[in-house]
Amino acid sequence: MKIESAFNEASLLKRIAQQDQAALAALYDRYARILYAVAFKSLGSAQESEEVVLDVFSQVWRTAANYDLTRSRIDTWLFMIVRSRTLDRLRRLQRATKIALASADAAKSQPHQLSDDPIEDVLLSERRAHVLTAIAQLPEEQRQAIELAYYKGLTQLEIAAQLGLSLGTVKTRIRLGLSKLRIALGTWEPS
Amino acid sequence: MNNEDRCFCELAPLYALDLLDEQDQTWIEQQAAASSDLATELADIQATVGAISYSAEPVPMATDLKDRLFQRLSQPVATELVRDLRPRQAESQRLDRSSPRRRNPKWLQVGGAIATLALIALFVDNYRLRQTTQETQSVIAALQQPDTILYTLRGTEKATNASGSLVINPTQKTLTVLTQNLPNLPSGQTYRLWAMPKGATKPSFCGQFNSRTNGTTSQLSNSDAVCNGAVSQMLITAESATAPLVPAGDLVMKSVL
Repeated sequence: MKIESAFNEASLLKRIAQQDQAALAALYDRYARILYAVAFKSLGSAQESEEVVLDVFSQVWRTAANYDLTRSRIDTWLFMIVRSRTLDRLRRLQRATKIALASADAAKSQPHQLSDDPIEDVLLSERRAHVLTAIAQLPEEQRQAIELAYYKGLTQLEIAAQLGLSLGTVKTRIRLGLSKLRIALGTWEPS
Repeated sequence: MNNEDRCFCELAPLYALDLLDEQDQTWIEQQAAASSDLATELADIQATVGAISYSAEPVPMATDLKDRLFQRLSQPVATELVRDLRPRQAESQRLDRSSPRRRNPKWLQVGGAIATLALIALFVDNYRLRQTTQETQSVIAALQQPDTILYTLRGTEKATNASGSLVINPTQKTLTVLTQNLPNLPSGQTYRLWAMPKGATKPSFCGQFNSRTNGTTSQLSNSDAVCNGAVSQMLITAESATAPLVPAGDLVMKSVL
Protein backbone atom coordinates (compact mmCIF):
# COMPACT_ATOMS: atom_id res chain seq x y z
CA MET A 1 0.00 0.00 0.00
CA LYS A 2 2.74 2.44 0.91
CA ILE A 3 4.83 1.55 -2.12
CA GLU A 4 1.78 1.76 -4.32
CA SER A 5 0.91 5.18 -2.92
CA ALA A 6 4.41 6.54 -3.46
CA PHE A 7 4.41 5.12 -6.96
CA ASN A 8 1.06 6.67 -7.73
CA GLU A 9 2.23 10.07 -6.59
CA ALA A 10 5.41 9.77 -8.63
CA SER A 11 3.30 8.80 -11.60
CA LEU A 12 1.00 11.76 -10.97
CA LEU A 13 3.94 14.12 -10.93
CA LYS A 14 5.28 12.74 -14.20
CA ARG A 15 1.90 13.33 -15.77
CA ILE A 16 1.76 16.84 -14.34
CA ALA A 17 5.15 17.48 -15.91
CA GLN A 18 3.46 16.62 -19.21
CA GLN A 19 0.80 19.22 -18.41
CA ASP A 20 -1.92 16.70 -17.61
CA GLN A 21 -4.57 18.71 -15.75
CA ALA A 22 -6.38 15.59 -14.53
CA ALA A 23 -3.20 14.55 -12.71
CA LEU A 24 -2.87 17.99 -11.12
CA ALA A 25 -6.51 17.76 -10.04
CA ALA A 26 -5.79 14.40 -8.39
CA LEU A 27 -2.79 15.80 -6.51
CA TYR A 28 -4.90 18.79 -5.51
CA ASP A 29 -7.64 16.53 -4.14
CA ARG A 30 -5.08 14.71 -2.02
CA TYR A 31 -3.15 17.64 -0.58
CA ALA A 32 -5.05 20.92 -0.98
CA ARG A 33 -6.86 20.67 2.36
CA ILE A 34 -3.77 20.01 4.44
CA LEU A 35 -1.78 22.68 2.60
CA TYR A 36 -4.63 25.11 3.21
CA ALA A 37 -4.72 24.15 6.90
CA VAL A 38 -0.97 24.81 7.23
CA ALA A 39 -1.28 28.21 5.55
CA PHE A 40 -4.32 29.10 7.64
CA LYS A 41 -2.61 28.17 10.89
CA SER A 42 0.14 30.69 10.09
CA LEU A 43 -1.86 33.41 8.34
CA GLY A 44 -5.28 33.17 9.99
CA SER A 45 -6.84 34.51 6.81
CA ALA A 46 -8.95 32.49 4.37
CA GLN A 47 -8.16 34.81 1.48
CA GLU A 48 -4.41 34.74 2.02
CA SER A 49 -4.42 30.97 2.60
CA GLU A 50 -6.33 30.40 -0.63
CA GLU A 51 -3.74 32.45 -2.48
CA VAL A 52 -1.00 30.30 -0.96
CA VAL A 53 -2.69 27.10 -2.12
CA LEU A 54 -3.12 28.56 -5.61
CA ASP A 55 0.55 29.61 -5.62
CA VAL A 56 1.70 26.15 -4.53
CA PHE A 57 -0.19 24.24 -7.20
CA SER A 58 0.70 26.82 -9.86
CA GLN A 59 4.35 26.28 -8.96
CA VAL A 60 3.90 22.50 -9.08
CA TRP A 61 2.30 22.86 -12.51
CA ARG A 62 5.24 24.87 -13.80
CA THR A 63 8.11 23.05 -12.13
CA ALA A 64 7.01 19.39 -11.86
CA ALA A 65 9.40 18.51 -14.68
CA ASN A 66 12.33 19.70 -12.55
CA TYR A 67 11.32 17.78 -9.44
CA ASP A 68 13.82 15.08 -8.48
CA LEU A 69 11.90 12.10 -7.14
CA THR A 70 15.03 10.69 -5.52
CA ARG A 71 15.73 13.79 -3.43
CA SER A 72 12.63 14.07 -1.30
CA ARG A 73 9.14 12.73 -0.87
CA ILE A 74 6.41 14.52 -2.73
CA ASP A 75 4.54 15.57 0.39
CA THR A 76 7.80 16.95 1.84
CA TRP A 77 8.31 18.94 -1.34
CA LEU A 78 4.77 20.32 -1.19
CA PHE A 79 5.14 21.24 2.49
CA MET A 80 8.41 23.05 1.77
CA ILE A 81 6.72 25.10 -0.94
CA VAL A 82 3.66 25.87 1.15
CA ARG A 83 5.76 26.94 4.11
CA SER A 84 7.96 29.15 1.97
CA ARG A 85 4.96 30.81 0.30
CA THR A 86 3.12 31.14 3.61
CA LEU A 87 6.03 32.78 5.39
CA ASP A 88 6.59 35.15 2.47
CA ARG A 89 3.00 36.29 2.78
CA LEU A 90 3.12 36.43 6.55
CA ARG A 91 6.17 38.69 6.53
CA ARG A 92 4.74 40.89 3.81
CA LEU A 93 1.48 41.26 5.71
CA GLN A 94 3.27 42.04 8.94
CA ARG A 95 5.36 44.68 7.25
CA ALA A 96 2.49 46.21 5.30
CA THR A 97 -0.33 46.31 7.77
CA LYS A 98 1.28 46.07 11.17
CA ILE A 99 -1.95 44.63 12.42
CA ALA A 100 -2.42 41.51 14.41
CA LEU A 101 -3.64 38.71 12.24
CA ALA A 102 -6.78 36.93 13.21
CA SER A 103 -6.06 34.01 15.43
CA ALA A 104 -6.23 30.57 13.93
CA ASP A 105 -8.15 29.66 17.04
CA ALA A 106 -11.15 31.41 15.54
CA ALA A 107 -11.39 28.66 12.98
CA LYS A 108 -11.52 25.95 15.60
CA SER A 109 -15.08 26.82 16.46
CA GLN A 110 -16.19 26.41 12.87
CA PRO A 111 -17.50 23.06 11.69
CA HIS A 112 -15.04 21.07 9.59
CA GLN A 113 -16.05 20.64 6.05
CA LEU A 114 -15.63 17.11 4.81
CA SER A 115 -14.25 16.68 1.35
CA ASP A 116 -16.00 14.82 -1.42
CA ASP A 117 -13.68 11.88 -0.91
CA PRO A 118 -14.23 9.98 2.35
CA ILE A 119 -11.15 7.79 1.75
CA GLU A 120 -8.90 10.85 1.54
CA ASP A 121 -10.60 12.16 4.70
CA VAL A 122 -9.79 8.97 6.58
CA LEU A 123 -6.19 8.87 5.33
CA LEU A 124 -5.65 12.49 6.30
CA SER A 125 -7.14 11.89 9.75
CA GLU A 126 -4.82 8.91 10.25
CA ARG A 127 -1.75 10.91 9.27
CA ARG A 128 -2.81 13.76 11.52
CA ALA A 129 -3.41 11.44 14.47
CA HIS A 130 -0.02 9.80 13.97
CA VAL A 131 1.86 13.11 13.82
CA LEU A 132 -0.07 14.58 16.76
CA THR A 133 0.83 11.52 18.84
CA ALA A 134 4.49 11.97 17.93
CA ILE A 135 4.43 15.70 18.69
CA ALA A 136 2.72 15.02 22.02
CA GLN A 137 5.80 13.04 23.08
CA LEU A 138 7.96 16.16 22.88
CA PRO A 139 8.59 18.25 25.98
CA GLU A 140 6.46 21.39 25.80
CA GLU A 141 9.44 23.76 25.53
CA GLN A 142 10.85 21.87 22.53
CA ARG A 143 7.48 21.71 20.77
CA GLN A 144 6.97 25.42 21.36
CA ALA A 145 10.32 26.41 19.86
CA ILE A 146 9.80 24.22 16.80
CA GLU A 147 6.27 25.48 16.16
CA LEU A 148 7.32 29.13 16.47
CA ALA A 149 9.91 28.49 13.78
CA TYR A 150 7.69 26.34 11.59
CA TYR A 151 4.36 28.13 11.65
CA LYS A 152 5.37 31.68 12.52
CA GLY A 153 8.65 31.79 10.66
CA LEU A 154 10.49 33.36 13.58
CA THR A 155 14.27 33.47 13.49
CA GLN A 156 16.32 31.88 16.26
CA LEU A 157 16.88 35.32 17.79
CA GLU A 158 13.17 36.13 17.67
CA ILE A 159 12.30 32.80 19.30
CA ALA A 160 14.91 33.45 21.99
CA ALA A 161 13.45 36.90 22.65
CA GLN A 162 9.85 35.65 22.70
CA LEU A 163 10.61 32.79 25.08
CA GLY A 164 13.16 34.69 27.15
CA LEU A 165 15.91 32.17 26.43
CA SER A 166 19.50 32.30 25.25
CA LEU A 167 20.22 31.64 21.58
CA GLY A 168 22.10 28.48 22.48
CA THR A 169 19.15 27.11 24.42
CA VAL A 170 16.82 27.73 21.48
CA LYS A 171 19.16 25.88 19.13
CA THR A 172 19.43 22.97 21.52
CA ARG A 173 15.68 22.72 22.04
CA ILE A 174 14.99 22.75 18.32
CA ARG A 175 17.68 20.16 17.61
CA LEU A 176 16.61 17.82 20.39
CA GLY A 177 12.94 18.27 19.56
CA LEU A 178 13.38 17.43 15.90
CA SER A 179 15.56 14.46 16.76
CA LYS A 180 12.87 13.07 19.09
CA LEU A 181 10.16 13.77 16.57
CA ARG A 182 12.10 11.92 13.91
CA ILE A 183 12.40 8.89 16.19
CA ALA A 184 8.74 9.07 17.21
CA LEU A 185 7.65 9.19 13.59
CA GLY A 186 10.02 6.30 12.91
CA THR A 187 9.84 4.84 9.46
CA TRP A 188 6.36 6.18 9.05
CA GLU A 189 5.27 6.94 5.55
CA PRO A 190 1.96 8.48 4.64
CA SER A 191 -0.29 5.72 3.34
CA MET B 1 32.04 30.23 11.56
CA ASN B 2 34.97 28.12 10.37
CA ASN B 3 34.38 24.80 8.65
CA GLU B 4 36.11 23.05 11.56
CA ASP B 5 33.55 24.50 13.98
CA ARG B 6 30.59 23.27 11.96
CA CYS B 7 28.78 20.04 12.57
CA PHE B 8 26.33 18.74 10.00
CA CYS B 9 24.23 17.00 12.63
CA GLU B 10 23.79 20.24 14.54
CA LEU B 11 23.10 22.52 11.61
CA ALA B 12 20.92 20.21 9.48
CA PRO B 13 17.81 20.50 11.75
CA LEU B 14 18.17 24.29 11.70
CA TYR B 15 18.58 24.17 7.92
CA ALA B 16 15.35 22.17 7.58
CA LEU B 17 13.53 24.87 9.53
CA ASP B 18 15.12 27.61 7.42
CA LEU B 19 16.88 29.09 10.44
CA LEU B 20 20.42 29.33 9.10
CA ASP B 21 22.17 32.29 7.53
CA GLU B 22 23.15 32.09 3.89
CA GLN B 23 26.70 30.96 4.62
CA ASP B 24 25.65 28.00 6.76
CA GLN B 25 22.87 27.10 4.32
CA THR B 26 25.39 26.90 1.51
CA TRP B 27 27.71 24.80 3.64
CA ILE B 28 24.94 22.29 4.42
CA GLU B 29 23.98 22.08 0.74
CA GLN B 30 27.60 21.47 -0.22
CA GLN B 31 27.95 18.71 2.37
CA ALA B 32 24.75 17.03 1.19
CA ALA B 33 25.85 17.30 -2.42
CA ALA B 34 29.18 15.68 -1.61
CA SER B 35 27.84 12.75 0.41
CA SER B 36 24.83 10.58 -0.36
CA ASP B 37 24.64 9.57 3.33
CA LEU B 38 24.37 13.19 4.39
CA ALA B 39 21.88 13.87 1.60
CA THR B 40 19.71 11.02 2.93
CA GLU B 41 20.11 12.33 6.47
CA LEU B 42 19.02 15.78 5.37
CA ALA B 43 16.05 14.40 3.42
CA ASP B 44 14.93 12.50 6.55
CA ILE B 45 15.11 15.62 8.66
CA GLN B 46 13.24 17.60 6.02
CA ALA B 47 10.58 14.89 5.89
CA THR B 48 10.27 15.10 9.69
CA VAL B 49 9.84 18.87 9.51
CA GLY B 50 7.36 18.47 6.66
CA ALA B 51 5.33 15.98 8.69
CA ILE B 52 4.61 18.73 11.23
CA SER B 53 2.19 20.05 8.61
CA TYR B 54 -0.12 17.11 9.23
CA SER B 55 -0.70 18.44 12.76
CA ALA B 56 -2.45 21.55 11.43
CA GLU B 57 -6.11 21.42 12.27
CA PRO B 58 -8.37 21.08 9.21
CA VAL B 59 -10.34 24.22 8.44
CA PRO B 60 -13.20 24.81 6.00
CA MET B 61 -11.99 25.62 2.54
CA ALA B 62 -13.72 27.30 -0.42
CA THR B 63 -15.23 24.70 -2.71
CA ASP B 64 -14.46 26.68 -5.86
CA LEU B 65 -10.73 26.92 -5.18
CA LYS B 66 -9.87 24.13 -7.61
CA ASP B 67 -11.79 25.90 -10.39
CA ARG B 68 -9.91 29.09 -9.57
CA LEU B 69 -6.63 27.18 -9.78
CA PHE B 70 -7.33 25.97 -13.31
CA GLN B 71 -8.59 29.41 -14.26
CA ARG B 72 -5.28 30.84 -13.06
CA LEU B 73 -3.32 28.25 -15.00
CA SER B 74 -5.08 29.28 -18.19
CA GLN B 75 -4.16 32.95 -17.66
CA PRO B 76 -1.55 34.60 -19.89
CA VAL B 77 2.05 34.31 -18.84
CA ALA B 78 2.42 38.00 -17.87
CA THR B 79 0.29 37.62 -14.76
CA GLU B 80 2.25 34.56 -13.74
CA LEU B 81 5.54 36.36 -14.19
CA VAL B 82 4.48 39.27 -12.02
CA ARG B 83 3.15 36.87 -9.40
CA ASP B 84 6.38 34.91 -9.47
CA LEU B 85 8.43 38.00 -8.87
CA ARG B 86 6.68 38.82 -5.59
CA PRO B 87 7.88 35.82 -3.56
CA ARG B 88 11.40 36.33 -4.85
CA GLN B 89 11.30 39.94 -3.71
CA ALA B 90 9.96 38.82 -0.34
CA GLU B 91 12.65 36.16 -0.15
CA SER B 92 15.40 38.66 -0.85
CA GLN B 93 13.95 40.95 1.80
CA ARG B 94 13.92 38.03 4.21
CA LEU B 95 17.57 37.29 3.52
CA ASP B 96 18.36 40.95 4.01
CA ARG B 97 16.98 40.82 7.53
CA SER B 98 20.17 39.31 8.83
CA SER B 99 22.29 42.18 7.53
CA PRO B 100 22.24 45.77 8.79
CA ARG B 101 19.24 47.65 7.47
CA ARG B 102 19.93 50.01 4.60
CA ARG B 103 17.47 52.73 3.69
CA ASN B 104 17.33 53.51 -0.01
CA PRO B 105 16.22 57.00 -1.03
CA LYS B 106 12.62 57.20 -2.32
CA TRP B 107 13.69 58.20 -5.84
CA LEU B 108 15.87 55.11 -6.02
CA GLN B 109 12.96 52.88 -5.02
CA VAL B 110 10.65 54.50 -7.59
CA GLY B 111 13.33 54.25 -10.25
CA GLY B 112 13.89 50.64 -9.35
CA ALA B 113 10.19 49.87 -9.60
CA ILE B 114 9.98 51.51 -13.05
CA ALA B 115 13.03 49.62 -14.21
CA THR B 116 11.56 46.37 -12.90
CA LEU B 117 8.28 46.96 -14.74
CA ALA B 118 10.16 47.80 -17.93
CA LEU B 119 12.17 44.62 -17.56
CA ILE B 120 9.02 42.58 -17.02
CA ALA B 121 7.43 44.08 -20.14
CA LEU B 122 10.57 43.37 -22.13
CA PHE B 123 10.77 39.84 -20.78
CA VAL B 124 7.10 39.16 -21.59
CA ASP B 125 7.54 40.50 -25.13
CA ASN B 126 10.63 38.38 -25.62
CA TYR B 127 8.92 35.36 -24.15
CA ARG B 128 5.92 35.71 -26.49
CA LEU B 129 8.15 36.28 -29.49
CA ARG B 130 10.30 33.30 -28.57
CA GLN B 131 7.23 31.15 -28.02
CA THR B 132 5.70 32.13 -31.37
CA THR B 133 9.00 31.53 -33.14
CA GLN B 134 9.41 28.14 -31.50
CA GLU B 135 5.86 27.15 -32.45
CA THR B 136 6.41 28.20 -36.04
CA GLN B 137 9.76 26.43 -36.23
CA SER B 138 8.31 23.22 -34.79
CA VAL B 139 5.51 23.22 -37.38
CA ILE B 140 7.98 23.86 -40.23
CA ALA B 141 10.31 21.16 -38.90
CA ALA B 142 7.44 18.71 -38.64
CA LEU B 143 6.26 19.46 -42.19
CA GLN B 144 9.77 18.82 -43.52
CA GLN B 145 9.78 15.27 -42.17
CA PRO B 146 9.00 12.61 -44.80
CA ASP B 147 6.70 10.65 -42.51
CA THR B 148 4.68 13.63 -41.26
CA ILE B 149 0.93 13.09 -41.15
CA LEU B 150 -1.30 16.07 -41.82
CA TYR B 151 -5.00 16.28 -40.98
CA THR B 152 -7.40 19.06 -41.82
CA LEU B 153 -9.72 19.85 -38.94
CA ARG B 154 -13.23 21.21 -39.36
CA GLY B 155 -15.67 22.50 -36.75
CA THR B 156 -18.87 20.60 -35.98
CA GLU B 157 -22.25 22.20 -35.35
CA LYS B 158 -20.93 23.05 -31.86
CA ALA B 159 -18.20 25.25 -33.37
CA THR B 160 -19.25 25.97 -36.92
CA ASN B 161 -16.63 28.67 -37.56
CA ALA B 162 -13.72 26.65 -36.25
CA SER B 163 -11.05 25.40 -38.60
CA GLY B 164 -7.53 24.09 -38.25
CA SER B 165 -4.88 21.50 -38.93
CA LEU B 166 -3.17 18.74 -37.05
CA VAL B 167 0.47 17.95 -37.81
CA ILE B 168 1.79 14.66 -36.44
CA ASN B 169 5.50 13.95 -36.32
CA PRO B 170 5.72 10.18 -35.66
CA THR B 171 9.51 10.33 -35.21
CA GLN B 172 9.40 12.85 -32.40
CA LYS B 173 5.98 11.65 -31.23
CA THR B 174 4.60 15.18 -31.25
CA LEU B 175 1.22 16.43 -32.33
CA THR B 176 0.81 20.10 -33.23
CA VAL B 177 -2.76 21.39 -33.26
CA LEU B 178 -3.41 24.68 -35.09
CA THR B 179 -6.90 26.08 -34.62
CA GLN B 180 -8.81 29.20 -35.56
CA ASN B 181 -12.15 30.41 -34.15
CA LEU B 182 -12.37 27.66 -31.57
CA PRO B 183 -14.31 29.28 -28.71
CA ASN B 184 -12.58 30.17 -25.43
CA LEU B 185 -13.69 27.67 -22.83
CA PRO B 186 -14.82 28.60 -19.31
CA SER B 187 -12.43 27.91 -16.44
CA GLY B 188 -12.02 24.25 -15.58
CA GLN B 189 -12.74 23.19 -19.18
CA THR B 190 -10.24 22.06 -21.78
CA TYR B 191 -10.12 20.72 -25.29
CA ARG B 192 -9.06 17.10 -25.68
CA LEU B 193 -7.68 15.44 -28.76
CA TRP B 194 -8.62 11.83 -29.52
CA ALA B 195 -7.55 9.31 -32.14
CA MET B 196 -10.14 6.90 -33.51
CA PRO B 197 -8.42 4.02 -35.33
CA LYS B 198 -10.33 2.11 -37.95
CA GLY B 199 -12.44 -0.61 -36.37
CA ALA B 200 -11.95 0.69 -32.82
CA THR B 201 -14.96 1.18 -30.61
CA LYS B 202 -13.39 3.74 -28.29
CA PRO B 203 -11.16 6.71 -29.12
CA SER B 204 -7.71 7.00 -27.54
CA PHE B 205 -6.73 10.12 -25.61
CA CYS B 206 -3.85 12.00 -27.26
CA GLY B 207 -3.60 15.20 -25.22
CA GLN B 208 -5.39 18.34 -24.16
CA PHE B 209 -5.02 22.04 -24.78
CA ASN B 210 -6.67 25.41 -24.33
CA SER B 211 -7.61 27.64 -27.18
CA ARG B 212 -7.95 31.30 -28.03
CA THR B 213 -10.45 32.32 -30.69
CA ASN B 214 -7.84 34.43 -32.49
CA GLY B 215 -5.77 31.36 -33.20
CA THR B 216 -3.84 28.83 -31.22
CA THR B 217 -0.91 26.54 -31.81
CA SER B 218 -0.63 23.78 -29.24
CA GLN B 219 2.11 21.20 -29.20
CA LEU B 220 1.26 17.92 -27.53
CA SER B 221 3.48 14.97 -26.80
CA ASN B 222 2.21 11.43 -26.67
CA SER B 223 4.14 8.20 -27.11
CA ASP B 224 1.00 6.14 -27.77
CA ALA B 225 1.37 4.62 -31.25
CA VAL B 226 -2.31 5.20 -31.93
CA CYS B 227 -1.81 8.95 -31.58
CA ASN B 228 1.28 9.02 -33.80
CA GLY B 229 0.06 6.98 -36.73
CA ALA B 230 -2.46 7.42 -39.49
CA VAL B 231 -5.90 6.66 -38.11
CA SER B 232 -9.33 6.93 -39.60
CA GLN B 233 -10.29 10.05 -37.68
CA MET B 234 -9.01 12.56 -35.15
CA LEU B 235 -11.55 14.17 -32.85
CA ILE B 236 -11.54 17.19 -30.53
CA THR B 237 -14.01 17.46 -27.67
CA ALA B 238 -14.62 20.07 -24.96
CA GLU B 239 -14.31 18.45 -21.55
CA SER B 240 -13.91 19.21 -17.89
CA ALA B 241 -10.16 19.48 -17.25
CA THR B 242 -10.44 17.11 -14.33
CA ALA B 243 -12.71 14.52 -15.92
CA PRO B 244 -11.48 10.95 -16.51
CA LEU B 245 -9.87 10.34 -19.88
CA VAL B 246 -13.05 9.19 -21.55
CA PRO B 247 -14.79 11.46 -24.07
CA ALA B 248 -18.00 12.78 -22.53
CA GLY B 249 -18.22 16.39 -23.71
CA ASP B 250 -19.28 18.06 -26.96
CA LEU B 251 -17.53 17.09 -30.18
CA VAL B 252 -16.27 20.43 -31.53
CA MET B 253 -13.87 19.45 -34.33
CA LYS B 254 -13.02 16.41 -36.38
CA SER B 255 -10.61 15.56 -39.12
CA VAL B 256 -11.81 15.44 -42.70
CA LEU B 257 -10.46 13.18 -45.40
